[in-house]
Amino acid sequence: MLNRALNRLTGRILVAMAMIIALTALVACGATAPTESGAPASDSPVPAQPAASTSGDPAPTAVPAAAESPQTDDRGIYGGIVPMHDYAFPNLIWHPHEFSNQTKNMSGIYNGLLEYDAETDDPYDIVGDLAESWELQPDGVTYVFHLHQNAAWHNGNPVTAEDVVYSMDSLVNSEANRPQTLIIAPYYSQGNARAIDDHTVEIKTNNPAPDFVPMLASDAFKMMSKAWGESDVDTSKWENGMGSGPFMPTTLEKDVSLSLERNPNYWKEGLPYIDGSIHYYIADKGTAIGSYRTGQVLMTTWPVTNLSNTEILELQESEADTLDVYLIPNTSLLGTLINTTIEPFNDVRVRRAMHLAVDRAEFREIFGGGIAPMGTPFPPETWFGRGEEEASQIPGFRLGPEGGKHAGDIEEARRLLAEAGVPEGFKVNIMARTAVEYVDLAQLLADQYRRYLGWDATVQPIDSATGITRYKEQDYQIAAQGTALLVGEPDPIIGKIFMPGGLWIQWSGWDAPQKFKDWFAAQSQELDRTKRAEILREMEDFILNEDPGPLLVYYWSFRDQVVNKKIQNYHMPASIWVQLKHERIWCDPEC
Amino acid sequence: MNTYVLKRFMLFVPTLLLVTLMVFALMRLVPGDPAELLLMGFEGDGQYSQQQLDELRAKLGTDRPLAIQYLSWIWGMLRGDFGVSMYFDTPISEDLGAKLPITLELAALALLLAFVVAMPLGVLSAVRQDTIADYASRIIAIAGVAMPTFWIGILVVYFLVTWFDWLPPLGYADLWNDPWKNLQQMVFPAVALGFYNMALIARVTRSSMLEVFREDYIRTARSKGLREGAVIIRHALKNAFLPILTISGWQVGRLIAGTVVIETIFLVPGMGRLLVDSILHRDYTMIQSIVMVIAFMVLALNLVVDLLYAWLDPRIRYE
Repeated sequence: MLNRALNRLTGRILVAMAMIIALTALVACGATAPTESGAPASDSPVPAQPAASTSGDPAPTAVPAAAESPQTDDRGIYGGIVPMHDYAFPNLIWHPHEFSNQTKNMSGIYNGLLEYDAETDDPYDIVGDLAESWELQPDGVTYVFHLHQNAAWHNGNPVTAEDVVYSMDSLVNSEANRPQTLIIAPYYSQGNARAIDDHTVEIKTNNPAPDFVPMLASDAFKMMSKAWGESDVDTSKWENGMGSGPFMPTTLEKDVSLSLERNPNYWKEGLPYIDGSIHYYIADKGTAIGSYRTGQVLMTTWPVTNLSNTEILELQESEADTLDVYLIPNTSLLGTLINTTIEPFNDVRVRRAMHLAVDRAEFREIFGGGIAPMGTPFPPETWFGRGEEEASQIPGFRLGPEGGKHAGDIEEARRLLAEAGVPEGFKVNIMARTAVEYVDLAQLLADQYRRYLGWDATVQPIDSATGITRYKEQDYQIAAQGTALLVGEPDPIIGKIFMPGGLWIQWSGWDAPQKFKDWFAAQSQELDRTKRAEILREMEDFILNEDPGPLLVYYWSFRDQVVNKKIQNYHMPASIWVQLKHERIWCDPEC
Repeated sequence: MNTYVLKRFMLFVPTLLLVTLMVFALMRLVPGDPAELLLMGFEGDGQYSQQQLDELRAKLGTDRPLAIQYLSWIWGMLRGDFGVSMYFDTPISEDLGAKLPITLELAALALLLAFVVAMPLGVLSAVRQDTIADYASRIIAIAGVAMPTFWIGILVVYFLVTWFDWLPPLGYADLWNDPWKNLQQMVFPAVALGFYNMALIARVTRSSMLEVFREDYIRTARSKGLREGAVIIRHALKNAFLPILTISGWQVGRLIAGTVVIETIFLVPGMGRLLVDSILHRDYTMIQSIVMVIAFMVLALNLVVDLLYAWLDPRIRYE
């Protein structure tokens, strides 16, 4: 009897468990079929290349495009909502000039005066956006922009020169919150723009400024309607966003997603191709990778993920049939930030020793997938940085005959430390915010300083908010830290890291010598690129040979854009802050 | 009984007061200024002037003395006003109203799944002591207790992606508007979240059942000629249920704490995920409110469990 009861009970348990398993399978298998991942792969992520117009924009038309999109044209396919991935949900203040993290999601709502061409493989190709054309006057400081005649705001009103003047002054409004756009304040001051007529605007820079146009073309510098900006509308609300761009804001689910839908009356004929985008907030790395693999998200909103270069390369390798990964070099770096206000780091000999003892090849191999650009002060292989081959001969970067650190560098580093009175076993604490890969980077640095300098190095992981507070209070010794740059031009890079007012200078307390400041000012105004490169070379030589300053770059990190092969006409941007409007991509097969 | 319930409710007040003091003090002890974080952005790249910082601190109320901040928060809560999120600038009550049901749904589903699996597993293990079925169920239970919740969550995601090439659909679907999609989104986080509870309940069920099996009344029940199923379910399981209920009560608190990790992994937009984000952003007002809600729920559930004792075992009286 007992056995019979037990058998019955066991049977019921098995049935119950089978039901649970069946439910699990039902939920998994009964769901919407995974996104087709076997899209026919082409050799290139880009199909037929459309002919680039001289302005980079379609020819202006007098009448806005019809609300009903055609299914295809000779360039691309219309329709579809593209699911995209963001790893951090921004706060809820959506004014186009406030806060930096919102830019990636708002970009499609607004146009800039200029933009980086999203349809060519030249990442530095700048074309007009609202501006149909522009010219620099012979005085070297006056720019005249001619606006598209048919450019219109979402409410149908025309975009005028007065709107541009209003926007330019708003971008450098130091009374308001402008964490990103104030970067052009050295070039442009309020009142320096004026409307010549409804569709012509003149903008004067304070000095000749070769980086003004590249910066203005980034997605941080959007134009907004004067009437809208001055109205009673709460311009910080997502749903109130009104620009002239290809998309309009729709739903916002806090901590979940943001949605954009196509502007049916977009003034650029035939654009955008897609009906909209939905940006999902996925913070967990594993879930993000899973979402790419299953096709639940088709691309990153911008070339920033929370995955390391190595993880990205692994994802690319495992999903080569369905995903393209674009690695954008030289727009961000990872390195050691030094608090130069405290002993012994206020001694240039100590900073030089630390520079010499960094095994950059090891960093590149472990974290940069073996391909990340070398950690020279200025990005390598750019017009203002030195080539990797040349850099690899320089102390601090050169390798020994059998690989690994060059013995001469270690010897010199130890000599400098001895001269500075820093003993063997010196205790150093490396602060590392628990963000990106800072803790892992700090572990490797600690290991290297133990090996090469005999330091007693420890790592202090710390949450991001606490770390930023401690940076501000200069309450740390050294830290593993990275930064992303607006555009890959000299001013944003050097200004941020080495010059007074730059964020890293505020955190590190380093004060550049006068000659360095003079060089910076001279190159910043030099319109002749060859001459400018010469000045920049002197600056880099100073950093390499005299004082590394507050920063020891491990390597220039790639920023990564993951794009499903369904997404067509995507071209790699020059930096993370450009080509974010997504008005020229389409889906094939449909999204 | 009524006096007991009243006394327990009275005890809520000092306990909750202590919680308010602790959470308020802890958040202020941890470095990180919400105004600075708002201005600097998540990556700390933003730049701002001292004037902007002062203005924002004044707007957020963090420039006031700590005692005033604390009392103003308490006064607000007493009036049912949780205040405004420092980071999102939205009414906290709205956020809690939207997020709490999601977390409760997840926790309830996790507990339900835990019970549905654990009870039969524990009973089977007890009645088939020292057999393969017993060993198997004990291995599952020990593994469940040993593995941290976040690890199980990661394994579930890995399993779904690798074996089924599938993940729960993105974007949250409300239970009442789209129950099928909601189930797809909730069942796997619930499995991950409830796995530990399942294991623990299974272990407790087994040991409790083994104890009860040795009691005289079980022998009597069998000697009366009752069917074995009736003996197990009606006599043994009911008497073995008290310890199970005890651990289930405090496990609810653990379950809600576990949602913090699981909601992040499975993109469930509940209160746990909101808490994580709020901590990262130093959204003091939001953190305080969420912690208070959780504290209240845990206290209330413990009371409910205590009251259930009396219902399950008539010998227990609270007079």
